[in-house]
Amino acid sequence: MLASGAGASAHRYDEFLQATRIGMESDRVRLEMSLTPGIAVAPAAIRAIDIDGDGVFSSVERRAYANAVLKNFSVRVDEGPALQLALADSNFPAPGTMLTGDVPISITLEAELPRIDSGDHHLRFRNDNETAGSVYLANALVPDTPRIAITGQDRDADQRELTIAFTVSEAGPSLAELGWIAAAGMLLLLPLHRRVRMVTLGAR
Amino acid sequence: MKASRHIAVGMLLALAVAAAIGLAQLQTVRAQSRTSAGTSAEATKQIVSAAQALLATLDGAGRAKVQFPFDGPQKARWSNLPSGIFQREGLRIADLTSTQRDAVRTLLTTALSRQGNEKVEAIMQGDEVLRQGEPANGPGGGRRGGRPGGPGGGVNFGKDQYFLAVLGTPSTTQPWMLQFGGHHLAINLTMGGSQASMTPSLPAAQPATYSIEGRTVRPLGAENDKAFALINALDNAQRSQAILPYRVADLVLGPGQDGRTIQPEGIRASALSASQQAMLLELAREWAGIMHDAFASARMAEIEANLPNTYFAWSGPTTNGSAAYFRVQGPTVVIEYAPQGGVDHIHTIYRDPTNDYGARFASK
Repeated sequence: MLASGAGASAHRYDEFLQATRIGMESDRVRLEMSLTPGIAVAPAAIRAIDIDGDGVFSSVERRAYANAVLKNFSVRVDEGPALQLALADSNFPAPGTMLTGDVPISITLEAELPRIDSGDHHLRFRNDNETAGSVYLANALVPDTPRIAITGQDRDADQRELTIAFTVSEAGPSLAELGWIAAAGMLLLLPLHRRVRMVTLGAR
Repeated sequence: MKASRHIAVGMLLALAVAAAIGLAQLQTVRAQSRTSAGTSAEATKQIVSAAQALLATLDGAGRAKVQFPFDGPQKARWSNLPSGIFQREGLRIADLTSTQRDAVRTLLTTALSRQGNEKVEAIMQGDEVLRQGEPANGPGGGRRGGRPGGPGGGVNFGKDQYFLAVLGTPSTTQPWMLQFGGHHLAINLTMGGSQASMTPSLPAAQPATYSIEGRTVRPLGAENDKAFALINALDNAQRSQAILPYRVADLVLGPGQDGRTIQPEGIRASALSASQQAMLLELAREWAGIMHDAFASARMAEIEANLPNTYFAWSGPTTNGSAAYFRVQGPTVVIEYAPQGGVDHIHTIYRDPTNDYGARFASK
């Protein structure tokens, strides 16, 4: 039972928030999704997962829901075909807690990136997962590799589609590596400097 | 002789390059504290002493309940959700004697700034208002759902439903952590010698405005007002950069999003005037300034040092009194302010991508 006054604290009501964070690594793209049904839409969301209606999300039901959601997402690089998305992880709250409108379902999808040449590219993400009251949020994470730099993000009006402009550069030394190279250069030059001085002094 | 000179010059150049790169890295990530090392060391001593005094009020069972390993799942066990939906561990205020509650209060007033303590008190009092079912003051109370007796079961509100945990052993030299939180509040204070980090932390509020003893309280009023003042201080060209062309419906990096950094958006602080930059810093101070002044000044110095690479982003109307989202994001700061369906219910988050949970000084 909700405590008296507890209704005043209700969070999301009639919205189903679908928030996606898109991470690019050197060889893969990762979609991290938090799906949070509001109070009014939570019962329908629960029924969509708990197919047998026993009040428990079984592993079979969770996998089925996650795979159904997966089919509604697409990622493309440049004008290429849709990448092959696979379910990497999922986390479902207890059905009862979803009725508060606060607690998300977490689903992570991954796809291998094709070989991408150096230069400017774009990645297009689209969320066609449509449920009653859906509102969408999509954001790029800072890439996991210094070879990829995001130069812009362009969303459609609903935020169901996010186009990430990025550049790929050849692998180069990081700042720390440059520092070590400089230090190593010093160490290598030191004996040579001494030897040259000795030879020079000997020549005198 | 010429060859020797060339080699010597080469060595000096290499040394100069290495030194410049080292300095550049230090400048990017770390800023010198503006207070003396002695002030922060003294603050650490006082906080450790207060924590030890609290532990001394507990019996063995109490200490077993409140203390956790420094590195363990308890570190990330925090939320904005109320008890009953989210299971917190540690000491619950409701279960403490008056002596123990006084010790908790002393620990918090020692560890946080005056402003920080006032904010924490105001947030907790707001939850008390929720518990008592008082109507919120102010417009736009947001969509509310659920009914007494409806589904959802066992949700608890009120000042007594806040929890305290100690991770590790309070020490003036070794890392340890103080957690305090409940509904709409998560303070994660990691201590390490004379350094401290308060990120990630989550101050939130509902109701965002209420009255107590004839006095109007707005737990996040300063944050709101400073942000609206800043967005309205921008000219049209600046505003077009700052205002995102889409609705941000919630926190992007809320609870459960540790270790992630989103691509910055909005207007870069280098495109702001000096007075606008000062406003941005004062806005950030509302979060960075929650902890003890000795540590807050170091965090503010870092934020200021990295200001040229800090962004301010806005989503929503720009008239104060409206529900609008904003974000401050720089190399050592991520702050988000997200209304939850209206102006009476606000969630915020404060992170430091370089130093969450004291990563810079507390990692093994």
